[in-house]
Amino acid sequence: MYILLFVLWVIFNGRLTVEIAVFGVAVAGFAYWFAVKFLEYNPRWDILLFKYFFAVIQYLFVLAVEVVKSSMAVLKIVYSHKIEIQPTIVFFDVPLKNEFMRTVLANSITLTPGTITVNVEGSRFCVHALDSSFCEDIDNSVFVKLLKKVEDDCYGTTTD
Amino acid sequence: MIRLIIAVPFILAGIAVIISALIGNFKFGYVLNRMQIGATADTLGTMLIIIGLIVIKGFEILTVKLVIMILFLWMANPVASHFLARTEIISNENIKEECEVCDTDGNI
Amino acid sequence: MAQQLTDAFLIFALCVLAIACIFYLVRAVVGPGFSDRILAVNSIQTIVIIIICIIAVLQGESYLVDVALIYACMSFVTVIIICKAYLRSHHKDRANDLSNLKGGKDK
Repeated sequence: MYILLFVLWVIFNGRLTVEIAVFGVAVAGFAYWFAVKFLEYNPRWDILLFKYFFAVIQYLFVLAVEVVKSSMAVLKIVYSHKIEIQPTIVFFDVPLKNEFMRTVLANSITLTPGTITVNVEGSRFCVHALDSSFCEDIDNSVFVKLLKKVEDDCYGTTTD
Repeated sequence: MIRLIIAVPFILAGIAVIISALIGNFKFGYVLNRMQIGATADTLGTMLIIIGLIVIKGFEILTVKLVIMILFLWMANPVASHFLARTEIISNENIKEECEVCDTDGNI
Repeated sequence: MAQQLTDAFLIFALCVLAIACIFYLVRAVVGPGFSDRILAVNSIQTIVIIIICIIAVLQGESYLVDVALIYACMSFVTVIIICKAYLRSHHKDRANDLSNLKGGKDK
């Protein structure tokens, strides 16, 4: 996280000199302290981020593939005159317990074209889908499997 | 030159996605359906056009900023459309005429 | 030669996006409800972000992407605040429940 903040500072400056590096160390340190102190950031998550770095990359890749696939389905609906769409609102439960994992799942569902998360109460998701074919296996999608795997792995090592 | 040839299909595809979203926006009659099409334009169109720009420009500081741009849009846009859908569903009295409500267990 | 072709292509892309922007503006004026207008404005903001990115590549200035990033932040905050204010002012009694979805199926 600290390294990420420092890299972000350097990128926004556009070039790397000694002066910018010194200021960057100070500013990134301040931002990190602020996040830990006031935004409830836990330094232990840094270790988790390093540990699951490849899982994050894999998740982003799967997300891009899903976005492209469902975009094709949505565009097919746009250009066809015959298909009668049936908008549906689905309630379903997810097996994830961690708040962060739920947030990631809700964001992924909304990011995928064709489905929008309307409400989350506890583990109860409320999802609007453009057609009923989009929500057939929504409670057992590939996102849920990946996140569930990471979460199970996480619970084995930490108490968080 | 070779970069331009690689980048042109990406940018044209992105523009095509955005134009399709525009057509869908005028074709569908209800807000929530339009919102799905708008989400398509937001994610896929933006991603394709920015990938094309990255290919044109090569690796320098501008393209790194463009990658940060994509990541930010992918994090921020779902939240905005979530709030919009929520507003529509709360404020619409006749929501059940527009869409079917169901449960994965079969009961409402 | 390649430089000129790239510039011409990017300017073509800018023109097409600007025309799309105008049509979204029509949608924002016509749109029958509140949500339609906000949705159209949100789409216009996304297109404007892309336009700023294309201009940044065209000019080769990397600070324009910073402008686009700040614009993205502002559009995000705009949509959320307008939605919240609308819910607070027009539907104060049930600003936080989804009772439209439950019960009373024979509406």
